[in-house]
Amino acid sequence: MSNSEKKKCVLLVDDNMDLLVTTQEVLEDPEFNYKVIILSDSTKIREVLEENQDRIDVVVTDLQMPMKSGEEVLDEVSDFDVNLPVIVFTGEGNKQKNHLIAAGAKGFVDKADSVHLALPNAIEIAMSSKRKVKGRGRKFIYRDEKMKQVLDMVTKLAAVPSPVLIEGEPGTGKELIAYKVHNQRLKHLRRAGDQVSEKMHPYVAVNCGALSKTLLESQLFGHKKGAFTGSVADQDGVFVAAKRGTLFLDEITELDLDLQVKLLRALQEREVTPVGATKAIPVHARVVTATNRPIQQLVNEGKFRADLYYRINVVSLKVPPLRDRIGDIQPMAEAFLRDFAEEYNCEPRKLTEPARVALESYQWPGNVRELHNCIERSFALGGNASEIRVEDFPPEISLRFTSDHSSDDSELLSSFQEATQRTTEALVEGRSLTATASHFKTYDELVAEHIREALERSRGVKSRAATMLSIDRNRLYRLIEKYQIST
Amino acid sequence: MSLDNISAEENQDPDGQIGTLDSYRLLFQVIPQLIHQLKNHLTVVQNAHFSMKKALEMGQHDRLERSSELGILGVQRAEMVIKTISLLESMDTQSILSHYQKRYSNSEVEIEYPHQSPIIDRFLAPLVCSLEYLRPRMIKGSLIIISVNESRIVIEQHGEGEVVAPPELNDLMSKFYRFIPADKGWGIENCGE
Repeated sequence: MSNSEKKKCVLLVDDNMDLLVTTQEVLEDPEFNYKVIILSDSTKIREVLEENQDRIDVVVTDLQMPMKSGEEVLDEVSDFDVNLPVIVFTGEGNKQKNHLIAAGAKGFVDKADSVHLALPNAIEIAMSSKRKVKGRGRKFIYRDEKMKQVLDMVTKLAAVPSPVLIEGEPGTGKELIAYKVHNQRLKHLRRAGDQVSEKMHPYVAVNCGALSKTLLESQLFGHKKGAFTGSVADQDGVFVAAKRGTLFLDEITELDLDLQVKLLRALQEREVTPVGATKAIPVHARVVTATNRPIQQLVNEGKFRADLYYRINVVSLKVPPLRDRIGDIQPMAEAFLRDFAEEYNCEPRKLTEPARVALESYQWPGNVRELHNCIERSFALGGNASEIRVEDFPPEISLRFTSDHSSDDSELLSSFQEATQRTTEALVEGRSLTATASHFKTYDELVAEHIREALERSRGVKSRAATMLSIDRNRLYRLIEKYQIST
Repeated sequence: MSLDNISAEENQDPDGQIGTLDSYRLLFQVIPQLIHQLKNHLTVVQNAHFSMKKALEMGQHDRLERSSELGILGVQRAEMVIKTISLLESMDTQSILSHYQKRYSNSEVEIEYPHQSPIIDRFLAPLVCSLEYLRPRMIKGSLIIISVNESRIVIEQHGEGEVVAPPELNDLMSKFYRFIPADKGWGIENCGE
């Protein structure tokens, strides 16, 4: 390996300090040239993974450790990043090898083997298995308590294969959550000693909004040869294909009312009848559904069957929009920057402080997907610069954040964001910040109050107030006029 | 020999306590743990050997010195583990506890235990199991006091750090003994008492 190449980074976990230090020395020898981070207290695995986000290429762990076992470390790593390979390095012989490989370990090295002969080989094999998965396999990046609560709930859901309904705006990562529900279930089954395989427990996803009614029916339940024009052979539907795994039905509210009846029957009876068939087939997959529409309202309006809603909504997960978890924006943006640097083989870039503030003050209607695209765009247009600046962002973000922002403005903006969040929460919960029993503020009153506060904080500078409100200046003028706000 | 047969031999002991053969077998339940430790120390020795070789090739004197020190330490620790195994075979309670005292003091943890107590002999296997379990969990400067309280043994942990909860006994050991959690450690009792 030449010196210019980035060293592969190994996180080595063992409770024996001498073993850690000497193994580190072997692996960092120019013959192997790894960068090795050592950890003797396995309870701190999560902290170390978070501190070294994306730097670690492989984790090598002992099994028998006093505070947190290697098996727990394996679980923790897989929770953190399902694509980060783990090698078990143990003196306990091969007795647990099959079990650990089934649990996701990518390698197994006995301490009786010479480290310098066995470990680098296992590391290279494990790293070659590391796939850069985009989409469903991506790791979660979050600091916000709301997101943590959602993921805690996902962990709890592993024990029972109840149907799950995931609600959230577009781009909030509903499919990531669905995949996590699937993964946690498999982990639970493995721990319980069940034989789990990709073949018997697949993850199958269907977007109910992407297909016509006929095609969707056939895709969901399958069809017999000759059931309709072009059906030249029997075809299993996704209910059958998902076997004992997870069937994810995205955009469930787009389902036609007729198909809703059939889906309800499939969920209730645990069997499906393919199009053109007379005999039902039993099905076993867990069903996870998702929607970005207000499903309860659709039920009230008669556009979504209430009985189906209650059937799919045994457990409900509400994914918060990105604007409600501002604390997640910076770590996400930085993780995307690292991903792009790796993908395009460039030096990593950093966000300037104004760029960070600009990202955190934007409303992100497209949520994480929009943030991802914004970072990719700025990365692509930023040339060879080492920093990502506000000017690199799309106009809807950069134009709202003028270059004359001083540090005072950033402070102002941050305090204003808090106020915005408070107000939004109040609106969502249907209460006023100052609501009393005698007076419940109307929407118009709240908006007017909000604008007045923005003007006050911007000391009457309308362009600045407009930026704070994430609206353009003309709209602010119209609102000032509408609410007759004196300026 | 099945577990039932092992239990049956208990009756052959005149005072109704665990027979010598059973104690011997129970003591050997600790052997896999000791082999695990031995492998760790041998890995350190192998690693040190690799680094010494490289250091010699590259003329790195500091690295050579550091690696040889770690290698020697690894050999010494491996020797201690091997000695533990051979002492377990002797079943000499006082020698075994004295050896553990030395091993613990290498980690800056002290052990106090009663000398020449016939009761302690009857608890040798769970005592060794407890000491093996505690060793990596104790922080420097701690003190472990082993005492006899009527017909049971009590292991107390003193010093900074949280009191470690007792380990789970394996199937064979739990046929004969039980661990009773206490404020500062745990008591060990015969199952029949």
